[in-house]
Order: sequence, then structure tokens, then C-alpha cells
Amino acid sequence: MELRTTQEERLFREKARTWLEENVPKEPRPPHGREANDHDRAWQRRQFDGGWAGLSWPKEYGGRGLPLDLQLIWFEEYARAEAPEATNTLYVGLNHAAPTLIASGTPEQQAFHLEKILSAENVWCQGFSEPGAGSDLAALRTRAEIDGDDLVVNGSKIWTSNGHYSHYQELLVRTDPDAPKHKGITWVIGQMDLPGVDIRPIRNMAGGDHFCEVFYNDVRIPLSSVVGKVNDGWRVAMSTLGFERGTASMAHQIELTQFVENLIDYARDNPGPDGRRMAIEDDTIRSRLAAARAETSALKAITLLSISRARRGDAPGPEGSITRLFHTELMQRVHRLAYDLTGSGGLEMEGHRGWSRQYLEQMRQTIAGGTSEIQRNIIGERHLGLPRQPVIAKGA
Amino acid sequence: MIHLLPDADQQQVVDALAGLLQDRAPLERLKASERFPDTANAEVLGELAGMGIYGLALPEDAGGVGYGPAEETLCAIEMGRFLVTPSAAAATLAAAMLADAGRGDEAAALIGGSATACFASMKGKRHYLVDARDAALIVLVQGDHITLYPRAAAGSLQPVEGLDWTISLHQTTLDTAQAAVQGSPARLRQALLLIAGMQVGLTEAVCAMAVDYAKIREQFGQPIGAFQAIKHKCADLAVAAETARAQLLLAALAGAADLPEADFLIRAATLVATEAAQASTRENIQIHGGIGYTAESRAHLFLKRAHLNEWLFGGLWAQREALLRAKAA
Ligand SMILES: Cc1cc2nc3c(=O)[nH]c(=O)nc-3n(C[C@H](O)[C@H](O)[C@H](O)COP(=O)(O)OP(=O)(O)OC[C@H]3O[C@@H](n4cnc5c(N)ncnc54)[C@H](O)[C@@H]3O)c2cc1C
Repeated sequence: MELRTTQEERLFREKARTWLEENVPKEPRPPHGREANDHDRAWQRRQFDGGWAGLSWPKEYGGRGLPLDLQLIWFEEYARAEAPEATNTLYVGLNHAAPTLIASGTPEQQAFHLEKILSAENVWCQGFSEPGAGSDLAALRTRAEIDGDDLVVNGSKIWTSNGHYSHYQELLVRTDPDAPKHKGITWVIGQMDLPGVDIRPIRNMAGGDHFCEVFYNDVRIPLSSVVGKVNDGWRVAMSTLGFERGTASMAHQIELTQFVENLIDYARDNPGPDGRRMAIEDDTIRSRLAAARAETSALKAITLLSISRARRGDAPGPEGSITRLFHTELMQRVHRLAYDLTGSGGLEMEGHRGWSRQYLEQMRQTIAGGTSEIQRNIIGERHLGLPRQPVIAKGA
Repeated sequence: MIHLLPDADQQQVVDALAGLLQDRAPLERLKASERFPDTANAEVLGELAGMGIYGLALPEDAGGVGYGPAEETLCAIEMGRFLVTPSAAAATLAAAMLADAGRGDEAAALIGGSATACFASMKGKRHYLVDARDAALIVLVQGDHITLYPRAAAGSLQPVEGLDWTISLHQTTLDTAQAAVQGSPARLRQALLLIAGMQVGLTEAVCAMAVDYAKIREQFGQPIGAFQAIKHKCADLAVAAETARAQLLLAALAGAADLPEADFLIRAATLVATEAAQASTRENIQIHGGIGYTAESRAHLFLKRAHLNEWLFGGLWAQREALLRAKAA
């Protein structure tokens, strides 16, 4: 156990702070849709040009290969500068697709795609879930048959976030319907404007058109776009999901800290839900604010603990699900508190500073990317070693 | 850089203490269905003195071992795991406050185990003494203050039936004019870390206890841990334990480095650890079913201790208030 600030850290912090002060966009980020994506791309491009993109990526792939400690400092300064949400419409490309290509892609795939992801020239989405395959992802049925040098894809995907303005997608397809369900899946780079791809946005409960349903009708994708080997897609995909459960959410957590401080300030200066006194004088609110402050700090602490484990050389393990579960449920508690603070003002869709809409949007946290129930299964079975639940599978 | 894992040296300190406790103060010592005699707590306190635990974080020239808050906090976790009486933490704090006040001989007596200390907790205008025995000194943590009293400051002691069967409880009135030492803010932090440490230790202990039981107890032809209702509770226990430990260790390091946000982090640690301890000890009882409700099972001892520890630092509300006042990172 140790806490110290090195000269390198101090200098890095100064540089990050100065650059952010000069470059953080002045205009607010549009809340959703294509406008949000345009904003994200312009901001990413500016970070790329300034040498602040891909801090975690290895140097040989155009990143800066910085240790986690420095990445953490970057995110701290990022939040301090009130830079736009770091987890944005470019998340899949930067945090899923790129790490997958780095781990399992061919040199040609890497050379073609990585820089374009980092500079936000290309936007990526994730085509994993299907109407019949959500939590049970390996049950996916979108078919791909090999025909000459191509895969011919038929089927559909759903909940594809940002699909309607993405250029590429991480696509999971079934290439061997006779193999056991985890064995017949292939991970392939899908171009969204290929003939036969039909993208239909789905409106979410907060009013945004965040995700899409995507249909594939005899879509031809060259075999050279397969990442890893044909029928080895499950392994390739799992390496990406493992990444998401690790430290990739660091930025989010620091933003949450800032958000909680904003709530405390708000509660000091505004009447509480009962309208009789300042919100902070209401014991129920006080207690929830104190809990939010303490738990947000604990969220940072468990992130630091995972960073400590990574520093020791531990591979990311199921305890990433602990961070994820605590993180997502805490986000919901905090945003629910924000919503409650605004009293009847919460009846307006935007509420105070968008807090109502954000409260609604937080509902996704415990569903997307593996539900809370699935996280608890992972913690119980893989971390604590409890017996697996009996699986009653049909046709698997 | 913030590193939250013990280094080899720190791990050695923890292992040595855990080894001693496993050997001399195993949980089996606690007859869960009976009140635990004072003499047994005194024996454990003596064993710990033999190891120099009460002076662990005091400099060598003050009669201590020369470690710091990190090692001491790691040790508090072990003591919580074994349900060691909080008087061990009281002795540590009393020794430190006496050493600060230049009363080295009295500090040495505590470190060596020839004198002991106990905690007090406010009850209205009166006080409880926790595990009073023949303690020569009394530590009271209240609000932003930590104060050391001589035994003489306590009026007559009335025994009361305590919630925690492993520890005696008395009512008394402390004459606050007779304070021996007003502890420094650093001593207050130390107290909060020690108590939060014990909460983390018992949180980890019940998580392990629940998971072990969920693996061996079978119903409907399978271990109950295969049922999601139980598995998911266990997962929540693991989350609570992990977050409480991480927050505690971060707070200990921040305290040691005297960061501006140290008070904030330490209050967050007491709050998170206490909520974790109380929720986890309750859930552990539920996971054990009928046996969990019996006096025979050790499950209730952990629950009771989690409540007792809360009042050693003046209760959860006091933590919330202090946390909201503290300067955030
Ligand atoms: C905002 C948002 C964005 C998304 N973006 C993408 C994306 O970009 N790309 C993509 O591929 N997917 C995406 N998803 C899909 C997401 O991964 C799935 O929604 C998620 O995995 C759950 O699957 P499902 O919706 O089919 O729910 P189901 O799996 O049908 O689950 C329904 C309920 O049953 C529970 N349940 C299911 N199985 C179990 C079990 N074994 N034990 C206990 N409970 C269980 C679940 O926890 C849940 O409460 C997104 C989802 C959302 C909400």
C-alpha cells in the first residue's frame, strides 16, 4: 500500500490541465442522436490532433501506451475541466472494437482501421444482441454462409447503439449451426452501408433514437473481414467484453463524483421536495446525499483497487463485475436522487439541467452490456465459486 | 500513484497477526449461545500486547514499532474478522494520546499490556462503557473530538444487559471536566480508521461465512448457492466487502499522507464500512435460514458487533454530518 505523487505525474497533470483549459468545447453537447455524434467526433478529432487520444492504446498502434495511473489523472483533469461526457457515441470503437482488433486482428485490419477509430473518422457500433439472444448471447442465430471469398449474412440484430450513423460494426454471426452454441460463432467487421443492410432506429423511453434494429438480407462480407478465425468468434468477443468490465469506465466514475458535488450545491441553494426548507435540511435528502458522496468515493476506491491488481500483473478477472455492478446501480441511485431533489420540476422532460431525462436514461445502466442479474451470476459463480444454476437449454 | 494492495512487508504484519489470532483467539473461543466472560477478552488483549500491536504505528522512540496507518488499518481488519474486543483499538488510541502528551510511561504500560483501556459512547447526557473491566483509561469519540479520560472520571458503573454478548456493557456518567488528554485531529482520524477497519473485517468474515454455507447446505437436491436468490445475495456481500475495504485503504493512505481530502475519505470509509457491515451481517443470517436465527450460530455475534462498532464513533448520523461538512477531493 502506497500513495505518492511522482514528478512524472505532476508534469503530466499540468500538461493535461493546460491543454484541456484551452481546448474543451465551449458549446454544450447535444443530448442525443446524430448531433451528439457530430459533436463527439469533432471533440475526439481535436483530442487526436492534440496528441490526447488513445492514452491507453499501445504505442505501436498509434496510442500513447500510458500506465493506468496517468490515464486516471487525465480523467480527473477531464472531469475538472467539465469536458463533454467521455463515454459517448464513440465508445464502441474506442473501447471495444479497437482493443479487439489489437488483440485478434490481422496487420492489414489494424493498419486500415485503428487510426480511423482514434481520429473519429469512422464510427463503430456493436451488432451482438438479437431478438432471441440477449443475456444468452451465444444463442444468436444470424446466419453467415461461406460462398467463395465472402460470407453471406442473413438475419437481424437489435439494440445496436448508434447503428444509424456508424460506418462499421462488430458483427457476431453463426457460421456453424451444427456445432455447440459457443463453437459456431464468427466475429466479423461489418460495413454498415453494404447492400442488403437495413437500419431502423428505435426510440428509447427518454425520447432519444439511441439504438437500432438492423436487418441483413444476403449481405456479402469478404472473408478477409473475419477477426480471429471462422468459428472462433466467441473467444474473440469475450476478450472485448472482459475489457469493458475493467477500468474502461474510469471516466464515468470521475464524472459521477462531479455530479454528486453539483447535487450537494443544488441542495444547499434550493428548496427541497417538501418546499418548506432547503433540500439539504431535509434529513432523508441529507442522508441520501451523504451516502451518494461516500459511495461515489468507494467507487473510485474499487477502481484504484483494480488498477492496483493490474499493476501487480493480475489478468482482468470476474471481479470486474463487482465494479460494474456497483457502478451501474450507484449511477441509478444518484440520478434518482437528482430527480427527487427537483420536486415537481421533475415533471418537465428536461427538468433542472436535464436531470429528469438523465434519470430516465439511467434505466439502461443495469440492462445494457450485461444486466445486473447476469453480473451477480458472474460474481457468484466465477468470483465466489458458487455452483452454477442448472441450465435447462433446449436445442443447444 | 495509489496502490491499495499490501506489499510483502505489510502482508507479513497481517499474516503474523492473523496467525496469532487463529492460534490464540479463534472464533471458536466464542460460545455463541452464552455471554462471553470478561476474563476471556482480557486474555486476548494480553496476547495482542505481547505482539506489540498497540504501539504498531507509534515511532520507535515513543516505544512503538514504527509502522504507520496503513499497517495499523490492515491489522484492524484482522481484529474485526476475529471479533476481537474494541478495547484493543482503545488501547492503541490511549497509548498514542498519552505519548503525544509526553506521558511516555503511561503509554508504555498500555503498549506492554499492564494497563488497559476501553471505549465509551454517549447516551444522552450519560455514557456507556464498552468492555470496561479494569480499564485504566477511557476513550470517547464524539463529533470531531477524541478525548481520553482516566477511570476516575467515571462515576459508579451500572451493569446493563448488552446487545453484544461477547462484551460487557455498563452505564455511567463521565465527568467531562476530568479529561486526561484532548486528542489531536490525527488521533481522531486514527480512531475512525481503526473502527472502520473492524467493520471491514467482520464484513469480510460474514461474506466468507455465507458463501461457505451456500456451498455445503443442500435443499431441493442442490447446494443453496446454486439458487439465484441466494447466489445474488452472496454477490452483494462480495460487492459490499470489496467496496468497504477499498474505501478504507484509500482513506488510510490519504490520512497518512495528510491529503486535504483525508477527512472526507475517512468519513466516507466509516459510513460505507458500517452500512456494509450491518447489511452483510443481516443477510448472512438470512442465508443461513433457521440455524442463522439461533444463539448457537455465530451469525448473530457479527450483527451485534456491527451495531456496537457504530456507536464507538458516535453513530451513523454523526458520520453523515461530518462527511457533508468535509472537503471533497
Ligand atoms: C441502452 C442499451 C444499449 C444497448 N446497446 C447494445 C449494442 O450496442 N449492441 C448490442 O449488441 N446490444 C446492445 N444492447 C443489448 C443488451 O446487451 C441486452 O439488452 C442485454 O444483454 C439484455 O438482453 P435482453 O434485452 O434480451 O434481456 P433478457 O436477456 O431477455 O433479460 C430480461 C430479464 O431477464 C433477466 N435474465 C435473463 N437471463 C437471466 C439469468 N440467466 N439469470 C437471471 N436473470 C436473467 C435479465 O437480467 C433481465 O432482467 C443494448 C441495450 C440497451 C438497453
